[in-house]
Amino acid sequence: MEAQTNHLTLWKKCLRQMAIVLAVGEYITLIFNVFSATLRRPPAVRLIMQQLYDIGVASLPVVAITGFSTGMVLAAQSFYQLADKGLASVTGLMVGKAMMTELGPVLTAFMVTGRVGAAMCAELGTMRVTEQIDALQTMAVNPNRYLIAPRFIAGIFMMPLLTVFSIVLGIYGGYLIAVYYFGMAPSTYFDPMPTHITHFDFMTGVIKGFVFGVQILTIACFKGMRTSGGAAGVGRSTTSSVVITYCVILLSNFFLTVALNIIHAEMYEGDS
Amino acid sequence: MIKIRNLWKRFGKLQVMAGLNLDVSDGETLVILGPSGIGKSVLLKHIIGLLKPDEGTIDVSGVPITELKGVELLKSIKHMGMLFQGSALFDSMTVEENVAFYLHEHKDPQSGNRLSKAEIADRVTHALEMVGLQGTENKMPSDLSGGMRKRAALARMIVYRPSIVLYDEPTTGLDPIIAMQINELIVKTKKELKATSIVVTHDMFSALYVGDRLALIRDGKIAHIADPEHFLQIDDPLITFLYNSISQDPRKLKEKNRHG
Repeated sequence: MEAQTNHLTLWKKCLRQMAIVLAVGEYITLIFNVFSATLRRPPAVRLIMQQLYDIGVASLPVVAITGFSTGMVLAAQSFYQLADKGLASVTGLMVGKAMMTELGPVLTAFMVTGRVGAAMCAELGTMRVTEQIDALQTMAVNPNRYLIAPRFIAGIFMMPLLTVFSIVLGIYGGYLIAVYYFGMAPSTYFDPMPTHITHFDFMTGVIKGFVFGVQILTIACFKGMRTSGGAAGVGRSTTSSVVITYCVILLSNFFLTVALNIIHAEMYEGDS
Repeated sequence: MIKIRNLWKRFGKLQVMAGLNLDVSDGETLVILGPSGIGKSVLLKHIIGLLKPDEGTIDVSGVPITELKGVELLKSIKHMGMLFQGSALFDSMTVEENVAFYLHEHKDPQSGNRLSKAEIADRVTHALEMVGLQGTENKMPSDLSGGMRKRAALARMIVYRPSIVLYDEPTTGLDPIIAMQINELIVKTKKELKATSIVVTHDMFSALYVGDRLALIRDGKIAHIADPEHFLQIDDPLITFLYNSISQDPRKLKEKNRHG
């Protein structure tokens, strides 16, 4: 009897694993369908503009606060940690490098996931459970082209820009703390940057912003479109969309860091 | 003409459709009766291509709907409309934007031309007048009552004059007065559009008021199908129960309305 129960549990576990594989398959299919629908007939400019505003412009305040406060705290912590070792002069460099390569893109992505990804998933989920997406289809409108494509395009375009915005504000926030609170000379903060911060550091931030943008938008739309089970279902899919996106961002950030550095090292070798 | 042959559909362990066959003639209003959760809405969703059957075929005006997908499917359902049980108005748009949606997205199915803004506005006004919602153009769906939402959804459907219209529980959850208005609108829509209509409901009053033929769905199949006179004579406890649950026969009321 016990053996049979174990057998059943194992079987259920296998089914659950299968469900994950199937979900990944559906996710890839959705991206493919959106891509092909966009290529066949691009979505209306008006819809893209609306999403550019919702995703980009409306996120500016929250991204500004994130970038600015992260820059300030980085500067403060670097100064406290480094000053007694005589390394206070690298504060600006620490802030710049950290903001560009890691904190700018990751924290911007986190804020955009919370602000844009969650709202988008909840909106699409509500549309799904109230049959608005079915209604779109009965009126011969492809939801992938009408609802998803504008969000993909706007998100993928806006995330690198928001990341750069957060990096710039982070460096400026750090500058204010270093100069006006710790009394550092502005030139000490900025001078090491042109020498030590390279195009590669900046591009790391932009590329990460782009990749995280793709992840945020595709996961939010996918989970939203797959919502079922009324208001509770919308809650469930929104929560899981945010949690999955956070995990994917954190994991992919590690691999991106390693991969980009390997590529850079290869290119640098090639140059020399 | 809608032809459904040997339709099978299963959701998990639930066999919803089990070899259903049905023919609907052009211009008729067929009412499909049956208790909730028996697959009436599922049948409508198959006809308009929202669901794919496990087995079986559906032919709408000679087009094999069940064989099509993607762009082909969307193209072939342009002349069809569906009124959803929960109205399914786009809640981010005003009533006017909702009603104008189809004509903004597509060419006019009758003339084959893209309508100008003025023409669309005319059509929207006419559709809203027809359902008695003039003056609500700038309201959001959330500002409307349940009955008004249903009528706005009806306006959104009739504005593009589909030749096949599907009604999913059109009177469910409405008070008797609003339900009666919706019944009258279904009859009016049929007359104005000369459309083939399928109404699924468990409201016998509505069924007798709007239907040219009535069908009862049971165990995933059509159990009985007949015109109202013969349908009521069928010896089936469910039909007797549904008929006894209404306090007056709407056919008499319809006669009275016609003569008075």
